[in-house]
Amino acid sequence: MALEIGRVCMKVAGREAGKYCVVLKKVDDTFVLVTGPKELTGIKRRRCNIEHLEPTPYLVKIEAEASEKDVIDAYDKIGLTKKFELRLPSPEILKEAEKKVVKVPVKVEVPKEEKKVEKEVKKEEKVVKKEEVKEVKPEEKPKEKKGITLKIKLPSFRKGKKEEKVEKKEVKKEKKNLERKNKR
Amino acid sequence: MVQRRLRTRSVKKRRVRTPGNRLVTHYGMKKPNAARCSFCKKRLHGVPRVNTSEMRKFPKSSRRPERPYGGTLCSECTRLLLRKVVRGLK
Repeated sequence: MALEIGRVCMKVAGREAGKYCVVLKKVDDTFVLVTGPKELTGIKRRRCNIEHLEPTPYLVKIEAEASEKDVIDAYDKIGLTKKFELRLPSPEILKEAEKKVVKVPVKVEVPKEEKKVEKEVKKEEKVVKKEEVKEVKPEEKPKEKKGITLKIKLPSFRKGKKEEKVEKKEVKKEKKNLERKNKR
Repeated sequence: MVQRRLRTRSVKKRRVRTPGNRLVTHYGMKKPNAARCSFCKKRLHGVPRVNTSEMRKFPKSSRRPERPYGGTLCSECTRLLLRKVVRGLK
């Protein structure tokens, strides 16, 4: 079974292992966008390695990057909620979840090529014309902003983790030095 | 004279040379065996090798990995098991 959009899968690795999720979009050759949704099964909307998924024979009818509500409705139509013994979340919880969720998926999917284009555009701004830039900006801007927030907020990328560790070490060193000085 | 309760084989003994050049025995608890996967008998990661009384002092999340079968099966065996479960669905 292929991992097409709407395929229901079980996560096999990590702390979300043994829980069901739905494929929303193909990000990469190795990665796929996935939700439980979190309110239903416990898997949050996130990028997931293909090797960590085991496809089930069930297909859910949804569009690419469907919202959490649509996915839950699609679950219910086929009767999967009864089969997996899942409890449907209350509408209040869903409303709160939608506010949070909308930001997450878009952050993940910004490809690297667009960022390069942005830099080139900025160089052109200084040198050549302002008219061309105006044409380009409105198309790309919404994606840019979300892409930038990604870099800062998600600590799960490896680069970010290393940087954090280095920072922590430096902070510890400073603390030790301060303590020594105080003792003297 | 050694204390009565220390004269069993369930207590770990250690010979220590003191600074005054004497030989002294130190008594302590024995360590339990390392936790192993019940399928493949591999050593498990993330399970500390301490007595149960000390284990209770840890928070629950640091006693075993937080996945189904964490602390009894290794990660590879859980993958196999879960895959089998899914392939049995109809």
